[in-house]
Amino acid sequence: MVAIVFAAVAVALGVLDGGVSTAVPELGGDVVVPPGALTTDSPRTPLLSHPPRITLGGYLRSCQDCHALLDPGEHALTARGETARVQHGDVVLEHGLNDRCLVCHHPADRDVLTLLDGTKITFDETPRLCRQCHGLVGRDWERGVHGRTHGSWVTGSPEQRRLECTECHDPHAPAFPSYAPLPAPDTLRLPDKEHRAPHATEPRWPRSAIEAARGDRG
Amino acid sequence: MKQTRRSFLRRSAAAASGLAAVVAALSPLRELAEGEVPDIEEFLQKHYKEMSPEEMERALERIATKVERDFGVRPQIEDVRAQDGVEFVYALNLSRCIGCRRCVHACVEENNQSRAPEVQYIRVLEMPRGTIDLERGNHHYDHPTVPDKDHYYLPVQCHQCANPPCTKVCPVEATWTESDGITVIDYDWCIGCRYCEAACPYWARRFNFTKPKLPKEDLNPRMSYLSNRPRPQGVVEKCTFCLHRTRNGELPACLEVCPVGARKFGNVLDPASEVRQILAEKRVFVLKEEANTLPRFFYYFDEHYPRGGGAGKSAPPVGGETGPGGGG
Repeated sequence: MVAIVFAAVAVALGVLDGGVSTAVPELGGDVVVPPGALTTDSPRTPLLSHPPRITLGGYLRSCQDCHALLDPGEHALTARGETARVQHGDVVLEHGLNDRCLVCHHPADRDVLTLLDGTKITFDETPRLCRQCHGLVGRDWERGVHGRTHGSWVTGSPEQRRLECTECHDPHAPAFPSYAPLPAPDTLRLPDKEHRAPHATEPRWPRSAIEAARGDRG
Repeated sequence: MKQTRRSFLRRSAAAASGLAAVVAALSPLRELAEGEVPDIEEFLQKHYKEMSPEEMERALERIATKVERDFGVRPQIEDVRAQDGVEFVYALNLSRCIGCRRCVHACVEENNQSRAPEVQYIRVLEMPRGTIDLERGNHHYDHPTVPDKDHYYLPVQCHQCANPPCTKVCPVEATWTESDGITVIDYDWCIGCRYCEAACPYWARRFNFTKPKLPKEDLNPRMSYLSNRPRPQGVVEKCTFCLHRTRNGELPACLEVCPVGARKFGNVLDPASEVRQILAEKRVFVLKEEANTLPRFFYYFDEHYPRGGGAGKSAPPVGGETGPGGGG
């Protein structure tokens, strides 16, 4: 009943005409944002809460609120364009051989993800999911050899936090994007234009990341 | 002895030239602005290791007053000492580094380096793939986006050597290695001879040729005696692994800002630390091993999985001050 009412509201607001895909996931109060993190311009996203929530037509909704009613079933198998997608058109799936939505998303319950054996796992346990294929990286991540650790070098310190897979990698396109480098050093020793960085005269990088990290700690 | 006209003139000429030499030698003092002339207590300040806690207290107070006068901010300055049972080690994953230089500029912001002329502790060398010949490295690379597919990136900073050539050549013992492995400088003791800069095989030390220029609003007010307090002209400075952060349990600024997780830092005496895992499990090397400097800065790489699936291959290039938007 709730779902039907919601769908009616959604249709009235026109969000089903492609509007859903542009909605930004709302950070609920229970989302974990690590101290000192999210201060750099990396493709990191905060961990999604369980269940993930999204603002639709002014209401905070979980994925399943729509999908219980509008389950595309078999049509959602691929994101490569073989089947025209009505929704989530912004998702570009560049994940190698893994080109099926339902390999990771649970076929019946969109509020959770699925392991290959059908086990439901929540959106904040992605390392378990990724390690099914990326075992070696997963092992390195567990040891702290791969990935980002923030806050403290003291092992077991409450300030120390190791970021999870999807906090650095976009799960739909996990390859790291290219970056614009910050200005080269102006050593004043290479006057020839060939070696001199043309951007060297531009303003330096604004003090942002470190300042924000400092601010987070209070 | 009878004073002849000749000997009088000779002596007068000698005295005049001697006086002129003294005036010439003292002439830099005339260029000192008001308040820059060291007071008697500062002039008689002892070496860092010989200062009593009370003397250190007074020195910190003096520095804080100076910073407040020059920058309009009261700094939180401390003399943070090494912890027992801690030896810091840095590890850097060459398979991950994309050469974005975030670390270089985060370091400058954290450590109150001079903005003009630029003083930077970290040099990111762009190296052709397949060589470790540092002569072929270029730190002036300026591609629209990095990484470049034909290069890898080798950031170099102070290696905090266990057998450091720089401390041995200092004629006044103004630089030394602390018990946690960090090589430090007492800026008030340094005479600016630059022997250490010449001795370092990693080009890790920087000399303040002019008075460092640091805009007031860019000052990091959190500082310590041995690391990032403002430096005067004519002294050498270098990376201290951000000891005002790391000796308080935090991570260096260059690590916190690294977007790809290429930088790892920790206590090598702790068997559970990340750096210990890296030294045990990864292929690790040090720069210029033949120099027998025994660095505490290690480079490693991932040998068993491909480089990030080809970093930057599929995602559209993103740039500018706003940075990457997530690639999808």
